[in-house]
Amino acid sequence: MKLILCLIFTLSVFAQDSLTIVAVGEAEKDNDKIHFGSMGNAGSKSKQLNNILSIIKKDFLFYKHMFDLVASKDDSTLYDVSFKYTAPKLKVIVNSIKDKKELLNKDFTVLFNNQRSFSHDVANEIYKSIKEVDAIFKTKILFASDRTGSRADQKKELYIMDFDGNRKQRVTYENAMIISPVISQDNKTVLFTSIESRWQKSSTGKVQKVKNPNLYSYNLISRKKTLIADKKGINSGAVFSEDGKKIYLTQSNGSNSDIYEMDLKTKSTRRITSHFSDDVDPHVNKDGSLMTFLSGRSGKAMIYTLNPKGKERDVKRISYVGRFNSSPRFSPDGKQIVFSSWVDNRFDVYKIDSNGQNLSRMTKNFGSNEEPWFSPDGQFIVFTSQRVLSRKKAIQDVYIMNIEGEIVAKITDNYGKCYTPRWSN
Amino acid sequence: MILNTTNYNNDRFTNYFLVAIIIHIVAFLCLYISHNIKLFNNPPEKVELIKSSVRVDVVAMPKFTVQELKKMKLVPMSNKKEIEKNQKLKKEKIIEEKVKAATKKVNLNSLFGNLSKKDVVDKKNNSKSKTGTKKYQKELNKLILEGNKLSKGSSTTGSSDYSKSQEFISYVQALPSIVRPYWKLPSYLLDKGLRCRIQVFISKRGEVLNFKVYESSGDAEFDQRAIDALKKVKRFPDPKNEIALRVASGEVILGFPI
Repeated sequence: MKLILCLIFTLSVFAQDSLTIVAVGEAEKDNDKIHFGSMGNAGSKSKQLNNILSIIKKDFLFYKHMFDLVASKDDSTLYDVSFKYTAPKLKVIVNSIKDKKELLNKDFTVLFNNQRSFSHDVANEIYKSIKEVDAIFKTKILFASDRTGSRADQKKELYIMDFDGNRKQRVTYENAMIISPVISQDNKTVLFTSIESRWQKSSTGKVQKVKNPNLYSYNLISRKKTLIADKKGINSGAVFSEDGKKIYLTQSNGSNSDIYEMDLKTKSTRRITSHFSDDVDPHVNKDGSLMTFLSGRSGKAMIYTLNPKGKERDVKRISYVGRFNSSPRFSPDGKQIVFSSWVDNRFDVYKIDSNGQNLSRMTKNFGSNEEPWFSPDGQFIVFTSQRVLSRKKAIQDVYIMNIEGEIVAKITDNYGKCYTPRWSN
Repeated sequence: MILNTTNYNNDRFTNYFLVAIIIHIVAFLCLYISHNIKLFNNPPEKVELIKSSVRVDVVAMPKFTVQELKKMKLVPMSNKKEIEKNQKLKKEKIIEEKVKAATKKVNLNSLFGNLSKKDVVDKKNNSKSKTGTKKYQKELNKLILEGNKLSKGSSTTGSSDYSKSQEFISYVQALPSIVRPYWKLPSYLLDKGLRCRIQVFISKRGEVLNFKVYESSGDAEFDQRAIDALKKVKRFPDPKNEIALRVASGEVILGFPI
């Protein structure tokens, strides 16, 4: 009987027990700690090898939202990178300390006459051995600059530079106003619009000089320029399709702007948007299943998506706020769209999911920020930022921020006003 | 005869009682098995899950950047207390200065001049204290409260100790924001979808008396990271007397992440 009563008492205690669970929420990401060893004593080559190591470390500092570079190894260090130089090769070993596993053991022939390029290659191999994807270290950024023009004679030419702003090179010598460049998937071809003057008959029969934005392709290897479209009105904002065989561009044909698909071989076009308001600035995701564009169909410049395989197929409005939104661009995985929006008398960069959810602000109190474009690995956004110095003077430079909105680097300085930065693939 | 009947009745009662007890035990065991509850793990019958939520209606472009929102999240309670302490000290200093200034002999013109200056200093100090982290925290708290508005509820049972339970709930709801700044995972553990729950025993003075892994994630490092986050919290807020016993007896379980 006593046993039974004890049992009843125990059960009643169980029944009275009450616990409250409270969710702490998702954890913050703790950066992976990585240690870079020294180059050792390499005699006369020590200085150059240390310069290479310095460039590799600087490359990794771009990923400061992912890696912490530590001066010495301890229990929390995840990766250890060691170097051994035996002329003419540099052995690079990457060890995962946690998994006790060698991730990379490779000999690189050192290019002392091209240290920067060599360092980026090595840095990329190290990153790839850890993350199993390419880093941005071998990518380039194409942009336009007005540095060759003057106030009276405004010109913009195309330039290309390393992702970190080094090794700037002039691409075009058009002596014209070049806008909206883009690089093909294979990084060989560039599309750009050149605003050119031409003689045209007006409705009254008078022949006059008018400016027309014409679309060109430019082969970066052969340096050959080809005219793609010069219809009356806008021929601009072109981007390559997923296979590079077609392009999507904005054409106005003398009336309101719409988005067209053009076959690069046959030059035949297919209309994708058909609305009485202007539809401009197309950008497609990697598999070509979704297009984002800017349209005034709601009365304000808002961001929309559609299926580019049809005409006005599955049109969906993505943005509902902002006075004027511009340059919507997909992230490489197509899940997010980055764009700029006019707020408080300046542009700022915002990010939104491709389904219209999770609108978030990326820049603030940082000048006027426009033309955002994702890096090929989706970890960074390149954009232009303008600072007004006086009523007559303003500077505009190219900056890089990471996907957490942290400014990582200013990659142009005193290089004219820079526009439309586009990341290579 | 009467005694016999009583004995007979007593025997019958004992038999029925035993049968009833056995039936109850069997039913109880069935219930446990069906709900897959571990009997020897001291299982609670009432487990309440509290979540904080933020409801955002997009009516304008966001005011705060991703970085600003991140910084708001990363202000732990201990720091907030320090900030408040500093602000108090500042205010006390200002008062002391005012008293000192008032005791000095000055002419009327300079007095008015100084007063206006002091007003400016005072206003500046006030505005400084209003800006920065506290301001951001207020905004964030406001946002969180928007998602935690009281509703009618659907429960058909309730306690008369309504205010006590509200006190307890609001105390428990304050805990995640204190632990969260220290709750960090390396990239290789982030997307594994792991979950662990830790029972925490908090003293009257807000100190962690003890903790117990109530539900393991199955990954020792994940569990250790959650424990580390808890250990890094120097002090939780002091629970009020009416809930101190509940908090100290381990009624609170922190879910990492839920």
